[in-house]
Amino acid sequence: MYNRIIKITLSTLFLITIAAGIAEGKETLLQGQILTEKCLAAGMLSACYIEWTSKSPVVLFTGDRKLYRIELNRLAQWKLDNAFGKQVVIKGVIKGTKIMANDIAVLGGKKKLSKACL
Amino acid sequence: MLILFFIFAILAGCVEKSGSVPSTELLPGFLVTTEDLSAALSQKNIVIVDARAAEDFQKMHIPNAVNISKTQFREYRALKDILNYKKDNGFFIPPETAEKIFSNAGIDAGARVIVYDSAVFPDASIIWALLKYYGHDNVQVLKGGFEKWIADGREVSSRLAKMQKKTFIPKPRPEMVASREWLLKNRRDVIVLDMRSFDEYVGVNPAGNPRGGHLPGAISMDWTHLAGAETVKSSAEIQKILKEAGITKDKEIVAYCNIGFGRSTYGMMVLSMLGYKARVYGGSFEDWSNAEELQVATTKIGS
Repeated sequence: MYNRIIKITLSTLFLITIAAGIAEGKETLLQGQILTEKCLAAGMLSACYIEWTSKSPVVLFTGDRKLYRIELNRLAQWKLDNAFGKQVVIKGVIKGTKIMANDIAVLGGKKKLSKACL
Repeated sequence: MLILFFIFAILAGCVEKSGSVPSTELLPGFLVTTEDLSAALSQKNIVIVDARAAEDFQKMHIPNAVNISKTQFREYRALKDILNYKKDNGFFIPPETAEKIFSNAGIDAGARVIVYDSAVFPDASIIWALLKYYGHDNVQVLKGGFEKWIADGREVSSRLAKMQKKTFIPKPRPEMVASREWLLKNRRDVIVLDMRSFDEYVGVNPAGNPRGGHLPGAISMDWTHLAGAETVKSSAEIQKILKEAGITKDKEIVAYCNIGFGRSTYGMMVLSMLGYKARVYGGSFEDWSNAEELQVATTKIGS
């Protein structure tokens, strides 16, 4: 019985390792809004406090309500800053709940975050 | 069993590590250092081409260089004529234009051509690609460009060299270029690379074209991600970028930009340096976007 449990556990680990290797490492495109975790947690999608826009991790909130913390890979910081609050398409590599961002394009449209003082 | 698992895990880690940073170096013969060029300045049959804008060239350049700026290739032709030529022939620069410009610059079959631009502009790649396309293999690009030449404290001049006209005979290599027809026929067997900015790829910046977006199935590869202060990034860095984008050596690559030279020729040059088989879609997005019957893709959303 003990051996069987070990075998099943190891097989599962083996499959997870393979699956992770396949799923990660390739670039993908994601669309969503650039926010910070604090703004999002407070439900402030169209207006957010200035303080919360700089002292909280920046995230991409996608149309299917998924959340990816953005880490810069080849993407320049100023490009991400310019996109704050806006609808964007990000190109990058997904690693778990993070996206290692390589490029960003700000989409047209009116959805833009305004900043308010706390 | 546990030991086997750990052995496997370690091996998998090693494979991944070696795969992410391949050992392949840039192939020799593409780039020349400022030191090598400096030593070769007095050689006969060497033609140094400054590919920067004419006004930059007139202020200062490498001694004895001749100026061929990219604007010369597009002068005096209506967009309609350009599009018609590109549709059928790929590269829009006809042999008679190449013959005239390169002959006037003193390039003949025996010339060794070294071309430069600032450092991280793709303009030198235009001359490189055109000379290769028209059958002249003895062409190299100055590593680090004019900025490196200046930084190394080497001699500069504002005197215009006496142009010695030679005879350049164009011998086109169709295998370096994709026409629209060729691309439509072969698109399933090739990787199509969009060398423009991500804004242009997504379609938010149509860059003067009637429709914004990209060729269906094309992979975004902003040329600036491959460029570096030494003209190109290191082999390892470029290989990592290509790997992330899913670009492999088993398929031929077709690079395109907006008008068919500059960013696309830079892509072809860099890929060639790494041993990839690559060609340029000469018509590029200008041609594709103007062909109303062809679909233009915007963004593919989702992971």
